[in-house]
Amino acid sequence: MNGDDRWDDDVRVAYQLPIEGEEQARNRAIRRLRSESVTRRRGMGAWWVDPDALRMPPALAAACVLAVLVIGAWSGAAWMATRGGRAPLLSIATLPSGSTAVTFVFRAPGATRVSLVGDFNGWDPDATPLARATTGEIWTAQIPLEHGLHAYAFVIDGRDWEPDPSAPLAPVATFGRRNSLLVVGEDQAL
Amino acid sequence: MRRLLALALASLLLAPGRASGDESEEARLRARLKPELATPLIEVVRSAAAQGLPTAPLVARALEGASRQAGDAAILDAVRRYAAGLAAARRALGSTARAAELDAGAGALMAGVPEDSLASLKRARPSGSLVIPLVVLSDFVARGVPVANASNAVLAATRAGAADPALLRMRERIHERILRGEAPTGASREGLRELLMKTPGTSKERGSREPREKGRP
Amino acid sequence: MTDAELVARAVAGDVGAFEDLVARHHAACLRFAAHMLGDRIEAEDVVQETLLRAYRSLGTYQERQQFRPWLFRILVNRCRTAAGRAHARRLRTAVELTPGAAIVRDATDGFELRSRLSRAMEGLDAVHREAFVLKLGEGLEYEEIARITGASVPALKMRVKRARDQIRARWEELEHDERR
Repeated sequence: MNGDDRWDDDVRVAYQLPIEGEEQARNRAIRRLRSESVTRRRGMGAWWVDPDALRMPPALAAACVLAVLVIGAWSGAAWMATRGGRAPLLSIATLPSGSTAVTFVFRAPGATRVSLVGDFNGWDPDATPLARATTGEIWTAQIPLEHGLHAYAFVIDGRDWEPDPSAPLAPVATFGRRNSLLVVGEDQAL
Repeated sequence: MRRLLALALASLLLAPGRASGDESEEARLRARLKPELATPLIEVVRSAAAQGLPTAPLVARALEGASRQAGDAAILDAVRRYAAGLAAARRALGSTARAAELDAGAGALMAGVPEDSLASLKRARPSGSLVIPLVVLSDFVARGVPVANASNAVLAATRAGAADPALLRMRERIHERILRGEAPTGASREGLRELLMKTPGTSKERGSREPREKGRP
Repeated sequence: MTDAELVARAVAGDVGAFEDLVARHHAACLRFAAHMLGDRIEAEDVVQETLLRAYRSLGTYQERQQFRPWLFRILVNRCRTAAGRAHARRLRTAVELTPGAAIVRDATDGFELRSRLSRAMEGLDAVHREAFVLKLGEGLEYEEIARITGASVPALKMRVKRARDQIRARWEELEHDERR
């Protein structure tokens, strides 16, 4: 790949990095659409479920959703992973305090699949697949991580385990290969 | 709204249990490992918990070993050594050390950094978190900087009052130098010098307090 | 389900079909608007306006069209109007806008990459910025971009080339500065 193509790639990666808070923004957009649509329902049929159609009062339903989100949110990493790494329509509305969303990006030329393994997902190569960000070499995933120290690595094509080339290395190659280390602190990952 | 509720409930069903207590950690180990391995491992984990040491890193190591298809003996050995490392880290860093500090400290100790160096680091930064200095130290050792040089670099930088972002930048600079082919020892020395020049309140005099290396004028 | 099918359902009154469309396209809209306007907050407003307009004019969408370019046409116009209201500002980074937001930890220093991109794009006028973002960022074909922006393919190619040259030069300057 020549210098031009690589630069184009870098630009595309930079451009396509997820915008922070996109999920919350999306939810706000949906809410706005709903409030707009109530006034326009006549012409187009019932757009959004009339709260009256639900047996449960909407406030209680919303509280249930929020409760489940909060309870499930730490496990959200695995949950999001079961959706193939794509951000689900039902987003994690608020991260539980003590965790931060972290985006991982890995360049793997010629790979057909890349996944993330680490302390946070039991080192399961199937738990957190990365999504290809461009037509070429860049793969990404975004997951919430608790504050603290996390060891991790990438698995390419299900068999090659690689550390993150730009991250601090773990000092001991416990099982023959070194892992990378990530520190997630207050409001940031380091 | 119905859809949201359905998705939310589905998420709860799909989500694995949170490893927040002994029971769920033990359940995870039993779920992933054969009983012959799970049982002794759980003993190690329980023993660590009884000493007030963090158990999540131990479980993580075991699961990593399983995923990497390491042998049972290797996994058990690794976890035992890590538990010992955590205990040693706590001796060196003190009982108020946080889990992440103990985790990072254990790694450094297991790589050959002496307990004294950790204790010195604690004295250099008595109340702030030591996770980043320990991670930076570990990284140097992992990249071939001799333990003494690595410890000295991080200690000197921390004593000079370098904050975590500065330490991380130092790490990156040193990493770049090593990638360009510099010997790790020289790279770490130069990296430290750069940091000390940029750290506010560091005078040349202070910089020269760094111990001389053998054989150099 | 294809976008066209979702639109058909939405028009027929299917609850959630338009919501699904939003789910598919919101992120792309937001990043386009953010890069065009250089302001994350304003970008969100513009995207909301766009979705509202799209929703109201769903009846004009024809099945043979691709949905995203159709949506982007509306978005491009909304962005042009918004940019006319305010000077483009530097895209603020995540740390400044949203505490606790996603920070990139990666092999290619993505966080710095995006910051560098937005700074490299500073000073580029809207017309060139549009062409560059749609081509190199969104990866659309020139014919699609022509339909979205109303410009001719040759004009677009020229704009992309000029934008690319300018941005790349600035990018390399910034990269060089960062390494020091």
